[in-house]
Amino acid sequence: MMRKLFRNIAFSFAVLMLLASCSKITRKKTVITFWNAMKGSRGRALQTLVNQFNQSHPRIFVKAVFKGSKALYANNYSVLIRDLLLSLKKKDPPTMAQVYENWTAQFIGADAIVPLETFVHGKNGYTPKELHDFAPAFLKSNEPGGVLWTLPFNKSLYVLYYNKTLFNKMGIKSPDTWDNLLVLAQKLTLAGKNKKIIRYGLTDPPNENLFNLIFYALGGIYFKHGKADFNSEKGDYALRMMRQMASEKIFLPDYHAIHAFIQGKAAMYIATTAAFPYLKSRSKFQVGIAPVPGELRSMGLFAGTNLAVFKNATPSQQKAAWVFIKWLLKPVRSAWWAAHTGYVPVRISALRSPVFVSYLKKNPEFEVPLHELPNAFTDPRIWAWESIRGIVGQEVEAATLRRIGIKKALKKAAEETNLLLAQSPVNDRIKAMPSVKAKKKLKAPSPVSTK
Amino acid sequence: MGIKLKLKMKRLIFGVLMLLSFLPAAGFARSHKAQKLKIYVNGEPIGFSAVEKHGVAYVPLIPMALALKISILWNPSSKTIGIAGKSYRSAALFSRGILYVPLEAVAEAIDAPVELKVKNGKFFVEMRTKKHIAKIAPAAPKPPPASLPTQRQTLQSEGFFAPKTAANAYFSVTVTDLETRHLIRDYYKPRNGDKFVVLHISEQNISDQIQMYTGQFTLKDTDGNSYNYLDGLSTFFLQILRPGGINFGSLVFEIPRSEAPAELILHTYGNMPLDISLR
Repeated sequence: MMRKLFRNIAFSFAVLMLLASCSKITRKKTVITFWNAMKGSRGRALQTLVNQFNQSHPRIFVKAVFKGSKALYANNYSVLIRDLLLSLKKKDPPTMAQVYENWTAQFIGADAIVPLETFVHGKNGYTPKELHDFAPAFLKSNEPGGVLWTLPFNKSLYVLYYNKTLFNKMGIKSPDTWDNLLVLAQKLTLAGKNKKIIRYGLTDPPNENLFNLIFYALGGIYFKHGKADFNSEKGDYALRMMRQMASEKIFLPDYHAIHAFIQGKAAMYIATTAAFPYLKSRSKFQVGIAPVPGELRSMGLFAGTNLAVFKNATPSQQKAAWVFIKWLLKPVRSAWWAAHTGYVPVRISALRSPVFVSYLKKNPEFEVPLHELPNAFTDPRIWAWESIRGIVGQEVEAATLRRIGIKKALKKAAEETNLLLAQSPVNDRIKAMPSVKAKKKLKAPSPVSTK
Repeated sequence: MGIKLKLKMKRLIFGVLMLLSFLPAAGFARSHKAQKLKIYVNGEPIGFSAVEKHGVAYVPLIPMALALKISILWNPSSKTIGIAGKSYRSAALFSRGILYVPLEAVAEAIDAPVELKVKNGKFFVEMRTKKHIAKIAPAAPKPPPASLPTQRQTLQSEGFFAPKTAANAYFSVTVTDLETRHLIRDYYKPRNGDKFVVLHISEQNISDQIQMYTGQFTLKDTDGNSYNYLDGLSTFFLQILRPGGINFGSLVFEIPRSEAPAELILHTYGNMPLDISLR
């Protein structure tokens, strides 16, 4: 009797073992696709992280797919959004992708993505402590309608780059207000014997980025009550400032401003921290970093994308994507990513990570923008933001280069913006910017004094 | 208080047009003079003006649709406007990417009694529906702002481009302007022997479904050569379009100087390409 029982138990055990081994053999890896627009050194850094993940997670394989183009004047993010929209039409989107906040608004409206909140608060989610470790401004920009749809990934802050070698030689400090910037730009501008400008005070593309930075610094809010609000005194001031700087030849409007700065043709340049590795490696002078000047608002405008998971992915792919996202956004990885790209860490504890501490020791100037993180804010997150940016950029450029009047440019941009705003679902009109904390009273607009 | 007159719909339109005929002219499109009227819905201005052309009052489609909470779709191929499920044969106007539809068609679709009022010497019309009231009052005419002649205007003086429109069951595409340039953004030059062709376009979702992918544009020249647009220089960004939604911007193509643009083609997924003749 006992013998028979023992034999049955042994047989059952053997069958179980066999089934277990079979399931091990037949269990396939969950393959997830990650569409991104990271090219060059950023693309290589991302692939390094993906390789590390794939090696340490035998049941998941992440396939990072670069969406970009080598064509002349190509915009990689334009390629990414085009391919994402086409894939959604074909009902074959990737498992996950980099997305801007305004893309998220569209994807929510089209029911195309899943809220990461489900995973964040799920079994393998974040503890409250871990969630609070994300930089609050970054997290907030991922919560349209109060739901955490995406998580921040490659985030950069707008900063003022300056020729530190030149500044030290002239005994001047970086400007803390736009008024000071104008005065410095005059001092730094150098003309030759034939009055040809050898060095400009400031260089930047004469488009919506610079306009927005000045406008935000004045405490401007882009939209009010669902309408454009940049056709206002503050918008007028910002655009007038750009136009005057260009007219007085202390500002070089240049779409390749980064090269003008590197070549020493301009002493200051405004861009995001993502430009820092390139600037530092190419410049023959010491590159300084300062916060973008503020007037009424402390400036910490940030850019960059977030991570979204698409609804068409299978439940196992979505789950695997969450495992990858959680791994990728760990403080140690966030620190490594920042140190290799010029983006800023999205986790607060990453700032204390040995890899980032070591990076700051080698690049102490990079610490400056990090102080702006508590005041960080981003552009509006509405559905049509990309098109609105294009419209504003076109008119700002035309007015800066004196092809059109300032009032006419702002009026036209506002009219066209209002048309696009009329199509943005109301629930996406969420103010991404914090209320203005006054630093000082706005001075009356004053023209730049002539030299 | 004003004089209240109960009128039928056609009398309202007649009244509005009479009112327009007494208003001073204000600039609208480059090619013609037109009148402007402020539009009020439930006492609130909607931020866009109505315009008059050849005796017809036009109102901006999307703001009116949103303000009245009704669907208004324009089908350029059949020249019909679908309002609240009814179809009206009518022309439409495009200006700076904004689609205007005749006020008469909108008013007929609402199908409600109206009042013509005079208050403080100013005329305005109230259109009463079950839920909404639209007020139309004359706007104070403003002189056109003085500005330097633009690069675009200089180029346009070489020849007038009449807007071109084509549509299929899903999208209506209008080319509002075509320019030839040898410099973009005062910075980018075409390669030797080439020129930039800039098309100002608007694209509207005229279907009753959300359109995830609104297509890719190519340009065909008179010799049949095809070109992709330079997305880094263009201001047209793809976006999901809701029913009735419009997107607009400029497309920049680089083509040989000896060639002339012949067709803009919209390639959407699963449909025949939509050709917009530029000649």
